[in-house]
Amino acid sequence: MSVSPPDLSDPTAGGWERLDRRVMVVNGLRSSSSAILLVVVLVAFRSGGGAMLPVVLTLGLAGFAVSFGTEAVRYQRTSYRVTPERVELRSGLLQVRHVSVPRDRIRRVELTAGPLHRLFGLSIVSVGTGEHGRADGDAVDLDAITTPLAESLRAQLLELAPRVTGFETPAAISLPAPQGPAVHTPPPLPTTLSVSAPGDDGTELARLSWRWAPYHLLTFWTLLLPLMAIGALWQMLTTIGIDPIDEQVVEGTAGLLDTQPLWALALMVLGGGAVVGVVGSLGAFTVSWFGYRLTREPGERLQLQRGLFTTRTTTFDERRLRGVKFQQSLAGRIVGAGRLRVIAHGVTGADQPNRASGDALLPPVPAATAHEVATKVLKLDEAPTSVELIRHPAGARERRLIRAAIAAVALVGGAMAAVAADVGPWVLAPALVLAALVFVLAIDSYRSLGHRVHGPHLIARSGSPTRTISALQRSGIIGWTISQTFFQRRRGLCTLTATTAAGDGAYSIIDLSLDAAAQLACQAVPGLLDHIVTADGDHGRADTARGPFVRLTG
Amino acid sequence: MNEPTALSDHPGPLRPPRHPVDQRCVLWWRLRAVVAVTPPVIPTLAVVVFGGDWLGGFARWLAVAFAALLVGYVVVMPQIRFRIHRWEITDEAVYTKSGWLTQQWRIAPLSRIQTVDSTRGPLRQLLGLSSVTVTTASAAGAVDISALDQALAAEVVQYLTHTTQATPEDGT
Repeated sequence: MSVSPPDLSDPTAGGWERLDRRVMVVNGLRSSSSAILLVVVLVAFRSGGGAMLPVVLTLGLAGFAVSFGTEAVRYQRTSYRVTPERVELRSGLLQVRHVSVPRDRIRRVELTAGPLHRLFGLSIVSVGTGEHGRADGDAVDLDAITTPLAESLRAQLLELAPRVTGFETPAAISLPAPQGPAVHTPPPLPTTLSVSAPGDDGTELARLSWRWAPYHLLTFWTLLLPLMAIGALWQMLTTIGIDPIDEQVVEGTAGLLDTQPLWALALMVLGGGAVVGVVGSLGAFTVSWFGYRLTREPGERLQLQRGLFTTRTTTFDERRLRGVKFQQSLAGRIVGAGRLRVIAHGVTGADQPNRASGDALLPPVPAATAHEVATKVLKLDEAPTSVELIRHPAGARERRLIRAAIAAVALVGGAMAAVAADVGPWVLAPALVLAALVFVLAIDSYRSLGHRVHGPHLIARSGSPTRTISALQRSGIIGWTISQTFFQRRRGLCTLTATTAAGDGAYSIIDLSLDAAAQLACQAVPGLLDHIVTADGDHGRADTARGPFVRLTG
Repeated sequence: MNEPTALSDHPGPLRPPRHPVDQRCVLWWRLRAVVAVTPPVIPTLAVVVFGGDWLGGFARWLAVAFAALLVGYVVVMPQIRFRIHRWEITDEAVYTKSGWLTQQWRIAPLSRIQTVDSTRGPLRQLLGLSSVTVTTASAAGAVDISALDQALAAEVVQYLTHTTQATPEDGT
């Protein structure tokens, strides 16, 4: 096994390689950072402590040694290999893990570098296959190799990946059917594994605009950060030995507060919270989205980079792009802003527990910007996220109103029971307000519903108060499910779900008529339902039967 | 912006799949329902027998109603299911209908099929039945034909395996 640093010019030579040696220092420092901090703090604050000092230093050093020792062993036991067919990773001391990913399954490569990694010129390479049902630990994570090597590795992994299968080029968007007669000639296999120049910038689709920053105030950070600040303050007071609910402290504070009028206090608390929320949210925006750029790289790859301290560069195979999703929260709908997300193979929602940075294509931005970027990303003339949609039948509205009525009756009934039990008549007021709100949500939920086939995409819209529009590429649809609950059946409604290998795996159109569902499915994927949806009154009788297993029909 | 148009090129409704599932499925579903219903039935019967004056006699009536509901489930559910469950393999797709209170039509194109399995639990094994499970690359795309005679299921699996092998795409 070679211990020499990998040959930068040819990472695909096929031998087992080590990670970069400096990663021992980076991760050692990272995992012992708390021990270091503790020693520094204790030494600084208790400098006169005498007897404590050796104990603290010994413990700190022990923590330090354990961290670095672990990292040294991890480094010794980890090696990776890139062959023309596979990417392999071996790691572990007692339980040896061997992960092997076929290169033609690679859909996404992400380079991540935290501040320490950047200081040492290193990057973590994580490779995603986008296969559902695959254990999360099965993705390959190289932590870490030098950034230039990581960049050339990324270029080669994605360059080779789609061409081996030669499945679909963006020309395939012009349908009609995924299995139709339109045969797309696969691009030729690359004859050489050349290193693409890292300076090659591609076409820019979007870049950070500081005018987007105010829209970040609409995210949950603005509410969360003041609460976190209060929590941190509390923690700090406890640490330095002040119990915030101690009687003396409470009385002292109350005495201080008594001298101020109530409105001034409320103003102070709200103002303080608002300042923390605004500053914090803008800070979070800067940390997450500083240096944001979305580019189209040569070789049909989309690349998204962002981050102030920890930089992330996600590159995915554009031929595996299956559409976009536009999401508007209630606040976003009021000011006309929303988030654009990608539907692609190997890219899952943000709540996945792996290193991948989720499916966000943009921070919260004005709707017009989101539509413009969607148009560019999908190479269309018109944003599929802003087109007019077909409305759903009145039965869909009735169902929502009935559900709202049941909820309202329960709310008001509960409140009246509370009044009867001597809680006080004031309970009725919030109950009535909530009941009214439920009806508003029901109407809004109905108004959210919409669908249509638009060019190469199937578009579905639903949700209240957060409204989501999904535009799913029709050629990415790999199955249909129509489901009808008991209550839907009474109104002739159903839910049509398109299944796909990308993104969430299933995209639903809720509460449309059964006939409309069948026709929409026919229109979205022509040919597939030809023998299932028929105009000639064929009700599955034997005399018109075709295909295998016909003899079974008696 | 072009206006969304009403669809007219396929005016027909969705027809049900051609083939019913095996007759023995009724027995299989009934046995499964009995297994599922047994744990709540025992305490319910205990209330019917011993709980005469609980809640002023109200508890007994509640228990009787609940027991009737459970028995009704065991009797009725398999019948309804058998009327709804159907399957078919067209030239393009595997097509199934299933469910009882909530009904589902599922369509998986032959060209997107990744694996075809036949599955049988102890009850199906006893009855000589076998289910056929067809999966695609989607997390939500599995299509289940439950259940067929074991010989027929084997035939279906073989046919689908053979057909899908002939399709060169990788199913995504």
